[in-house]
Order: sequence, then structure tokens, then C-alpha cells
Amino acid sequence: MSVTIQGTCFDGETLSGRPVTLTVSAGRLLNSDAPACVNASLAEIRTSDRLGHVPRYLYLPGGQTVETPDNDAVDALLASQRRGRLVALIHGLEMHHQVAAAATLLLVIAVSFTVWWGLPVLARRAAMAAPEAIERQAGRAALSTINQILPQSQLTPSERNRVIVVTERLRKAAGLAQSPELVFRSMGGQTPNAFALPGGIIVVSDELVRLTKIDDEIAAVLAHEIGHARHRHGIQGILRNSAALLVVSTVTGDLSTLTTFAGTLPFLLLQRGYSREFEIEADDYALDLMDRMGIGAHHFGSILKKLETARPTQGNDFTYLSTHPSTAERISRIKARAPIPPPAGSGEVSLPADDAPEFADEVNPANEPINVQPAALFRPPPQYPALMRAARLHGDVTIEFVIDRNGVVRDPLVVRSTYKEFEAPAIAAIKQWRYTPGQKNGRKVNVRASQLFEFNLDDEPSPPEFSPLPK
Amino acid sequence: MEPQLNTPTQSPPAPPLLPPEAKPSVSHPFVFHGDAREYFRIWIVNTLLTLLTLGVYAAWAKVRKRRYLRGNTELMGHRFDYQADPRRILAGNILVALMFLAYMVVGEVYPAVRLGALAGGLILLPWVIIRSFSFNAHNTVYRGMRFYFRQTYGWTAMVYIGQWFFIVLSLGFYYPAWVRNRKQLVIDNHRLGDAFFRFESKVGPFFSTYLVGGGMVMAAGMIGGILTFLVTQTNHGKLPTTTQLLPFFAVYGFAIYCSKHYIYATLFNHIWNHTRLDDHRFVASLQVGDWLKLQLVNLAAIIVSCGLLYPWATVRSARQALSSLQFHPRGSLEKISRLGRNDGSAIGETAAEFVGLDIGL
Repeated sequence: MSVTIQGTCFDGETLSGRPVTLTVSAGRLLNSDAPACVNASLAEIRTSDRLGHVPRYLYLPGGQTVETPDNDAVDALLASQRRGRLVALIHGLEMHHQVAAAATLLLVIAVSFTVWWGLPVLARRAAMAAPEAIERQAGRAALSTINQILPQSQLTPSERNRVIVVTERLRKAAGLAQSPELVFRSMGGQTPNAFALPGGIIVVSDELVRLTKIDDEIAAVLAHEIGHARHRHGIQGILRNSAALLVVSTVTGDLSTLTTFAGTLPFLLLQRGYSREFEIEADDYALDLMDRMGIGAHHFGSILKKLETARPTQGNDFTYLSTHPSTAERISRIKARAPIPPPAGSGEVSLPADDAPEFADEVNPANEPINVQPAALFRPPPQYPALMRAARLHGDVTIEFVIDRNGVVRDPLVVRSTYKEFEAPAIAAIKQWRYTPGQKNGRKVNVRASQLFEFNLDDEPSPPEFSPLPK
Repeated sequence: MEPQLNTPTQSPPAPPLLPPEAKPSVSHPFVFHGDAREYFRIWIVNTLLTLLTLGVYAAWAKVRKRRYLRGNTELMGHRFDYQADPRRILAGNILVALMFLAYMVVGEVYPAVRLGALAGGLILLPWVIIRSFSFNAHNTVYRGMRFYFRQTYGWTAMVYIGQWFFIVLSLGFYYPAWVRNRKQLVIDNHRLGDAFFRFESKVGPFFSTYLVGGGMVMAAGMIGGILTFLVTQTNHGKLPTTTQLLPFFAVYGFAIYCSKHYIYATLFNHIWNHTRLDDHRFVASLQVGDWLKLQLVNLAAIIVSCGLLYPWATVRSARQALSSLQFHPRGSLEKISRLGRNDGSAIGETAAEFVGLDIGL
């Protein structure tokens, strides 16, 4: 063998090193120059793995170490022993620019795939397989924390009963064996809200119950929360977040990286993204359930708007930074879903978006679809009542009306209003509205529609937003 | 030791590779030879392999990455070697991952378990700290000589946890002293062969450093607060939105990052300048301004590249920090020898671990 290795031999006893030239003779590696430092059988010698341009080390059985910059000579020695092939392969991969470029691309794909698809699927499977007892226990634990923070409910028995009856209707429609456990709490007059805890507990705030007089709106919120429970979002969230933390820390090095600013940021974004996904999933569940119960999807949109108005903060956040999808985003999703074929016999049809009513009912004995939807020609906004403006009161009015064969608004009827004072201006305004009439089979027909007027103080009465007609 | 034909003790004294240091003032710079492109390639390939093997390869990847950084650090013509056995680190990783998952899941179901785990964690912490330091030291080798770390459980617990209560009692003002005492514990219990490291410093410089660092954060908090106040003037009494809070977080986060690296650079100099290895000294002269500039560019690069330029930043940091560090030996290093060379069971060798716990302290 002609392998010759130049290096420095350290005896392991002191820091002193001496230059050596190693050669192989009769299966043993030894230094040809005096004094002797190395003499070991090739099979007994361990070497450090080749890595970049880092010097190589030979670890000898007697505790001596040889440090050498001659990586190729050491590789030749190993090759003669048929050793170190795997490491040579990894080193080869590490030294090529093309491999690095491909690895970068693959890494980006693999991380995205794992985090956005792999982990959620695994977490969902695991959550569905988790015993319900564990989930209930987790819910109890969360509830005991909530009990320390939120005061008892101030609702009257009849107010509570309203929610209980709605929940029972939802339970039947959802085919649940057990009604979700309702917990009423006050939020100090601040935030109308409801949220689901693991194990099917739903916390309802007094403010939510008092926010709306429409049971279907309460049903929409509760259906959303039941959606969280049915999808086991609580447990899934725990699993996803802990697994994502592990993946992120594996990729970026060690757990200490997570304490740094740059390491925390991607993890936070991930967490946000996950909870947004849960909200959307729960929304979809709620809309399906409402659909089965014959509750119009618009109730969901209207309660979301009310919740938004009642909240202390406004929702024009960066979507990536907010836990919930913004209300506008959710409402547009609801609208996108709304043109589901109406159940037979309901006669509910929707109008195309743009500037026409998004939802309208048709006065239509034959129960056939309208071919041509009414389109708005002239829609003056209502006057904001001066007294209400002075009192800085805002609210909304929903009006049901018929667009007749001449496109004139008839029979306006207030179906809901937050303040009586807003009703007259809304009626006055809508009576002036003009449409192109709806048509069916080339024949002009009467079309029933409903309209939500929002009276906001920040701007003038908002550009009218259409809302579907309650059934 | 195994019997061997040519044990070094039998050989006549050879001329040492390095000339004996006659003058104590001779200074030897630390030189970092790492190349950002090379390290990036190593990092990306190993990270990908880690992911493709579902994390099993992480231990091997970690050893390669760490060996690259140590192996490219040169002092007096020789490099540092990192000899950790990846299988030990794998065992440690599995242990940590299992404990972490159990804590997250069980803790969510039974919050009482969290308190228990916290108490258990506190009890385990000193042990983990000792294991981590000794694993790292034991596997770091310079010129065939291992580093060692040895400390008792009791004293580690006293410094790391016991003194933590002083911080609470003093409303945080004890914190710089705590940092100093931890550094002292870590440095004083490291040795290279039979040469012990010593850290001799009063607590004053730690206080002044943290005072300036804390001042930076507080000033930024005030500026950020004023900015937020101005931005929210148009809110009509409503709470600020997340978007409106962004300037505050930007200013505040920036200041925290700057403060952290100001403290790092200042203490880097102070600690090395007050550390000795026997009678050999270290001299560090890291320029705080340059370091801050470097770290800000690093932060920007890491954020823009979604973390992909992390290895680039690592190499740059290592090069700058090491190029500011010098070693001033007093007398010959040849005197440093393995501790317990004459008794059969070398004391230090028992530092080998069951599992390579390495929590990157």
C-alpha cells in the first residue's frame, strides 16, 4: 500500500504534539519517523468523519490522536478497508452546489408539506382516536380556570331557557346523543361571545344572549361552537402546536433557538394559521347544520356583524396576525356558500352579488326559479335620525319588501330593528328604491326581498348591505 | 491503558511542535476557518436528512454541524475536535421529545400534572445542566486532550435555582449577579486536562452592562408607547388594533434584540478578559458597534430567507467573535497533562454519559 499520511501525533497525556509521517505496513499503521508514536492494526483505528475542510483525526487504541489536514489520504486508507462509505456519500452530497440547491428546494417543500398537511392530518387522526373521557377532563380543567376569571351569569331564567331551547333544536338536527353542556357567564358587559371547551362544553356570555332577539342568530353561534367540539379542535390544537414546535426546533437546531426572536416568529405564525383553519371548519359545520334545520345562512352573517360591532376592537387587522379570520372574510365565505340549491318547496333563491340583493325570496306560487333577478336602479340611503346621531347611538333595521312587476318597492315591513327610531327613515328610504323587475319564463313577476340597513356613526348610514330574508 | 509497543512514556522526549513560550506576552489569535457557503451546504443537506428521517438523523446532523464549527476553530496551529457519539444524542433527543409531548398532552388534561411536572423539572434541572455541560466538555478535544466539567448537584441547584429566589426578593435587581454567579460556576468547573479554568470578576461590570441594556429596552418601550399613542389618537377611545400596535412591537422588538447583543458583546469581552486557564490568559476585544451591525444584518437575512440563511449568520458570528479573541500563554502549555494519568482508572473518563443530554444552554 502506498498511503502516506502527514500529521501531528498527540499522545493524549500532554498537549505536546509531534509531526509524524504514517505509512501502512503488513496491515498496521505506523510512523516511519522516530520517535515512534503510532503503531496500530488498521482495523482498530477509528477516524473522524470527513466534513468540509475540517482536519481529520485518527483515534488510536492507545489513546493517541493524529490530526491531519490530508483528508484524501485518510479516505484512501478507509477505502482499502472498505469502511466509511456512508459518510463518504454524505460528504459528497454536502460538497456539491447543485445538491445544496436541490436540498434547499426539497426542504422548503418538505417543511411546508409536513407543517401544513402532515401534522394537521396526524393531529386530526389522533384527536378523533383520543378517548372522550380525556377530552372531558381537559374541558373540566379549562372550566375551572374560567370560573376563577368570569363572574356568574346575570341572565333571567327565561333568557337562559331561550338558549337551552335553541341548543336542544341544534342537538336534534346534529344527531347528537347528548346536548352540549351550557355554561353561562358574564363578561362584565363588554364582550358578547361564546366559546367551546374540549369535551363539548360551551360557554355563553350574557352579552351574547342580550345582543340579539333572533333565536336563529343564537343558533348560528352555538352551531359554530358545536362544530369546534365535533371536530375536536381543542385536542387537535394542543397536538398540532406541540408537534409543530418539535418540527420547528428540529429544523432550526435545538430548543434554545426557540428562545430567540427569529426562531419564535415562524412558530407564532403557524399557530395563528392553525386556529384560523379551525374557525373556518367550524363555520362550515355551522352552515351545514343550519341548512339542515332550515335556518337561513344570513343569520350567521348578521350575528357576526353584530358581534364585530359590539367588540371593543375593530377587525381591520392583518389577517396573518389575527387568530380569527376577519369578520369580513368569514361573511364573504358565508355568502359564497349561500347559493346552495334551496330545499324543495322553500322558494328561497338568491340574487347575484354585485349591487343587487344577495338574497331574495320570490313570491312565486309555481315555485319555479326566477330567470331574471331584479337589479337595483336607484337606491338612496336613509337619513340618520338627528337625535340618534346626537346620542351617538348606532344600530340596524331589517326590512322585508316586495319588488313588484314594475320594479317598485311595495309592502315594506320592519322584521327587526335595534331602535324604533331607525325604522321610519329606513322605510322612507326603501320606498324610493327602484329595480328592474324580476322575470320568470319571460314574464315579469313579484319578487320578495329583504334588506339590512346599518346605521353607523363612523360614516354615514352604511352603503346598504343586503341580507337574506328570514323564513 | 492497553499494553502497547510504543507507549509515549517510553519514548525519549521529542522536540515539541511548538516553540516553548519564553515571553508571557506572546499572543496567539483564535482563527475561524469556516466558510459560509460550505457550512450552508452542510447545514441544508443535514437538515433535509433530518426531516426525511423524521428527526432520527437530527443527532448525526447536530454532531456534524457542531464539529464543523469547532473543527474550523484554530488556536496555535491546531483545531478543536468534537467527538460526541450521535447515538447518545439520539437517546437524549428521544427522552426530551417524549417528556415534552407527555407534558403538553397530559398537562392540558390534568393541569395539576403541570405543577407536578414543574416541580419535577426544577428537581431535574441541576442534573440536566451538569449533564449537558459535562457531555459537551467531555466531547470537546484540543490537541488530544479532553475538556471536563464537574460539579455537584447541590451547588448547581443552589446557584441556578436557589439564587433565583434572590432575584424575586430583590425585584429583579439581583439578576446581573445571578448571571455572574452562573458564569462563575460554569467556568470554574471546566478544565482542560489538569489545567483548571478560573473566572475572577466582581459583580459591578455585570450590573453596569445590564443597566445599559435594560435602559435601551425601557427607552424603546417609551418611544413605542408614544408612537402607539399618536397612532391611536384617531380611535375615539376604542382599543388599538393589532395593526396599530405594530410600530410598538417593531421598536420594542428591535430594542430587545439590540440590547441582547449589546449585553452579549460586552460580557463576551469582560468574561474572557477575566478568565484564566492556570496562569494563561485570554484577551477579548469584540467591538460592540460592529457586533450589533453584524447581528442586525443577520436578523434581517434570517427573517427575509425564512431561516434559510441561519448557517450563514452562524459562520459570520463565529468568525467575528473568534477573531476578537486571543490567547496569552504564560510559560509552556506542555505542562498541561491528563489528570490522573498515573492511576489506572482515570477520574475524568467516568464523565461518559448514558444519554447525551444537550439542551443548548
